[in-house]
Amino acid sequence: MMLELTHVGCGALRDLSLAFGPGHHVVLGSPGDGASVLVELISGLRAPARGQVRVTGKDPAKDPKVRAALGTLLAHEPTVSAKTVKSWVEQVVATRGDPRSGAELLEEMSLSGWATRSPGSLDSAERRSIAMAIALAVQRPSVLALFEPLAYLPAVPQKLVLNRIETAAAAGACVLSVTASPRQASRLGPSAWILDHGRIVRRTGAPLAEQLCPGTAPELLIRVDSPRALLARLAECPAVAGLRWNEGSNRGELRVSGADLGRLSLDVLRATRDANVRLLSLMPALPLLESVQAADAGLARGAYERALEVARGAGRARAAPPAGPGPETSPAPAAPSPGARS
Amino acid sequence: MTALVGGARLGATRLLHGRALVAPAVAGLFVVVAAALERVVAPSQAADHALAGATFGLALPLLAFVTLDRATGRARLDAAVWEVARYGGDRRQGAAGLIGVSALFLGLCGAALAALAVIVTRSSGDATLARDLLASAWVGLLGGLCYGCWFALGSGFGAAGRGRTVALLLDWVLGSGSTALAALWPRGHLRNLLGAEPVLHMPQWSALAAVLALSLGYATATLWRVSR
Repeated sequence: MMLELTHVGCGALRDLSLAFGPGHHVVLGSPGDGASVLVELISGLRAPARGQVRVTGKDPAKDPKVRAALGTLLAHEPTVSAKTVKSWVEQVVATRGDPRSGAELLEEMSLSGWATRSPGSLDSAERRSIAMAIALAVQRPSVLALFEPLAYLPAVPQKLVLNRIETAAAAGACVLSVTASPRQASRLGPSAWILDHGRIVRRTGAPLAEQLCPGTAPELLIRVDSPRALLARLAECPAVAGLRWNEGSNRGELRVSGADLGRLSLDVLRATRDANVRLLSLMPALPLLESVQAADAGLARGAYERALEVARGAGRARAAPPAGPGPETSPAPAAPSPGARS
Repeated sequence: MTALVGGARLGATRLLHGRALVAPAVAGLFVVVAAALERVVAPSQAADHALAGATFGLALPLLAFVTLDRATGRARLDAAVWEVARYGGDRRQGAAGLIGVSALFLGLCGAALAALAVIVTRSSGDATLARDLLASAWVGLLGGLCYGCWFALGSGFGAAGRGRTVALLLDWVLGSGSTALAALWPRGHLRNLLGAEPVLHMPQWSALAAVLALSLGYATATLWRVSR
């Protein structure tokens, strides 16, 4: 495995075990769940209090060669002491042994405009943009660990980031994108690992939008110029099971739910045409991270209670006196812990 | 090698900008005022008192503490050189560069502070002025180097390098005596080099050896603690 964390405890992370090979992997979790610490550990900025972090079999906190082949974007990029952005990038390429010049690298990411600025004059998001450019510029990276690769990057086009991530993953790198936004996660990949309270609790199936909160009806977010006119039409649509509209807060925004996202979308399009309203946007309404984590807690609780029920049934069967030859009882399966690890 | 230079450059950038130079200036002013007062109170022993008290007893250790605080960016030593280590630089080499520049800076400051104390307490016509000036500056240089290494070791411990405070207290409390407890800290040996009470009745040449050995020991222990 290219990236391996074994029983890692550090900050919010609790006994986290992970192993990722080449490809693009998305982790959905907030900094409070340990998402930012996860990237810091992979970058080698800090060593775990417990457990091991291994990148291509070596500890990034202790091996400079491993760090040279890493591309990382932290939640809070620290300030640097270089005089200009260009000299900052020049120092990085010199350390990495990259034949390209700093100006070339900045040009590739459309950041040449900042070359003469002092790093001290950059705000947090601008510093992240430069750090992202540096992270994506690693030649033949082993691992790319990126915290919020599509957010707080004012000058880096998202398309370019997605393109670079795809290219690196296709070339055999292990790319780990960490985000707290289900929407960003759905843009980054077809499935995601859910990080909750310092542990990976589940890997969603694909498509991500439908698998974040399994068991709940999919929802569509509609923005129109005249929602009141559309509401009456939508109420008549057979695929629509629920409607939500808050006139006070989101005037032009409606949420509709139904069992089938495809049929729901078609009904919405028909309704907007019939109601003669202007459709501004139509997209799957993704749940908030808190809702995803609540769904996971519910799933774990359900699984636990089912296993407990099976175990009780088996206990009762053993306690009852045998009434003659009958079918053998199978041993009860072990109850999974509510916070199952990957 | 690049990391060593990078660490040294990082240290120099942090230590040589405008605001960072306030601490040496304040230390210099303090030494001048203290030396002038000593000269007024007891002219015959003013130089000894100003050197052992205000300069090496107070100004230099505090300046070393503040300098390492600045050089490490108020962080632990391994985190202080993250900028150099992040993209493949050797963290240990980076730390060596940072410590080297800080110790050299403190050595020069120590020499300057000692020279100031001697100049202020002696009259210009004093025949021994040049000899004492040189000897004191030499002890100041050694003292600065030794304190730089000592506080670098302290910076390797605790969250945000809080070990520096412990290092300051250890030197202050244990180093002030002349028993075996004082042998591990710079204060007692520097006092001996200035001609005051020795630690464990050691001769001056052994105090010099002790200061050099302590500096080397502190630096080695510091770098040993920093992972690559």
